[in-house]
Amino acid sequence: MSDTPAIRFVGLVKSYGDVRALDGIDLEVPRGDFFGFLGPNGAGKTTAIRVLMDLIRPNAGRAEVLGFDAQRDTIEVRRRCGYLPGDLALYDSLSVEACLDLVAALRSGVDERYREELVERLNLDRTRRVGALSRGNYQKVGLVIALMAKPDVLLLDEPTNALDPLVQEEVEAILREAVDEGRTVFFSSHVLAEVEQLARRVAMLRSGRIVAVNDLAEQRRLAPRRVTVTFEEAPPAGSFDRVPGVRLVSLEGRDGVFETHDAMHALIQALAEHRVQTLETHEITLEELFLSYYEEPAGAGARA
Amino acid sequence: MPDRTIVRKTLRDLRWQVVGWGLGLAGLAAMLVLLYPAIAEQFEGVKLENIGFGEIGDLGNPREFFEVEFFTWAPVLLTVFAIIVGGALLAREEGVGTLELLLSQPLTRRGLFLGKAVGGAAAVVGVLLLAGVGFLLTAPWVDLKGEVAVGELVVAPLSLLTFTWFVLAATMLTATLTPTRGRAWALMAAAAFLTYALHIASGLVSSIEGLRYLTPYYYSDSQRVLTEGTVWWHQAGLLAAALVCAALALAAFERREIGVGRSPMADLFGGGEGGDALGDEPSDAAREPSSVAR
Repeated sequence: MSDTPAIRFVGLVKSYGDVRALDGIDLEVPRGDFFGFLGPNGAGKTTAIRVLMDLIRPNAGRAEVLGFDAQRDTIEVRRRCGYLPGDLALYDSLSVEACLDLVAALRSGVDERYREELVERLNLDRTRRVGALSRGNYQKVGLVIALMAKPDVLLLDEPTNALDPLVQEEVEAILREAVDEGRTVFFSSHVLAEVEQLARRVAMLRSGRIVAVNDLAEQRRLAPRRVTVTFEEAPPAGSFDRVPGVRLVSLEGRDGVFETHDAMHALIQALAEHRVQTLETHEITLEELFLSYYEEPAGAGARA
Repeated sequence: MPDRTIVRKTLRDLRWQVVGWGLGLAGLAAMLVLLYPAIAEQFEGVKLENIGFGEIGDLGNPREFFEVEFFTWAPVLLTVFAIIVGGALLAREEGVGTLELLLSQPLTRRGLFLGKAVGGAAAVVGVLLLAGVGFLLTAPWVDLKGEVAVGELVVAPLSLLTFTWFVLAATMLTATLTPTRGRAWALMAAAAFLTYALHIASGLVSSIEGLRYLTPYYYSDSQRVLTEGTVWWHQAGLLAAALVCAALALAAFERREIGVGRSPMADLFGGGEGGDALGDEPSDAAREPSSVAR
């Protein structure tokens, strides 16, 4: 059982009429991972998470949490998951305390000390009516609800939505502690910086398909370098077409952009045939990688 | 089994509705009891027949008076109450998004549904008991000519229990089969209006008299409860119909896709998606989170 992934999607398909929200997703998230689910609005992130909670049913394929089928073993899945929806809705007429009590009762008890710790750390006023809370405080209540039972798997849809930077830092610390305790955090986001900062691994979703799954540490190690060059005179077209191991990203007038992983020497040799005015080199960022996936036509398939 | 936390929460959510509707019916009952002596004097010996609300006899007789003045209207008011509550139990929670909060806890859909249904059914009992209190507080102080005991009046509203449960369950069924609460309310309101109109018309026009058997109002026995008593097979029939509706609603709820404004019938008949024409709930197939600030 311990080898069982925390989350597994197998050929998951979900359609709404003619719209295919998920188009055959295959993904495994190991236990104890801090996993980012990245994609623009409408990519299918929320749909995939809602399938895990059995709020919607797939047309094909299956979703599992800790080996439990999300549709067949619903109670087992929900018992082991803490869920923060993207469109969080709470009972506005209840106080924060009453709202937390309700969820605690539905879960047949939670870790009371941890619940109190979360309320303190997120600076929540438990006596206030939920409906009177600001968007940020409302989101904090949702986070406490998801976290307070210390579930094995946290499914968080845009967890830092509406939080101010200081609270975001505290939430990130809480989530890191959860991962350090061996729990799994699976969160969706369309904010690249957030994913880059938090996640160990990331899956990129586009039009219902996973276009890439990246280990961020590995990606940093293997990431190609991007070289931006300004020439004194525009080089003739085709000058860099046949440099082995080098990809010409763009060449417009005197400005050229190249990418290479392990052929920097060949690139420098090719550049040396022209008069170079400036040259800059840097690692490809997650943002550039992300954008490169979304600039390609749909259906290009996963690259990692 | 119904989830106890859900039952308690449902009762808590409905408490003011129960108090409001119950006191409203109690107030109507109390007012009619207090008016009865004056009306009895006015209509002493006057026989009225078929003036629009079924066969009316001697309004000077308290049994016939309360049947006409209270038990003709009570089913209509209880229909409205049951439609509102039946739509609110699950469909409203889905519309505002709180159903997602409940269903992300270790709770089966069956446990949630039964908890809501039991809470709703108990709320109906509360309203009818409060209605009886209206008779209890006033009838002992008024001359009812020894025709009807106070106890009979107090328990008489309970004859509407199975009828109201039936409307409640039918509304829950409609709400689980239609994409949104607004559509469920519209359908149930139309059905209630048509069946009540048919009930009235069939009492007036002999050629369509047989159609009265097609309306649940006929089986409620409310217009005969004090003069002829309750027909037990009518009550059993309404109870059975309520249970069938509840069972079908549970089956539909177990198949329902939460929060996408999509009927479980959509896959069978096509369509069924889209926003609510009455505009009370959004329908967003992909349900990507909104970036709109609170």
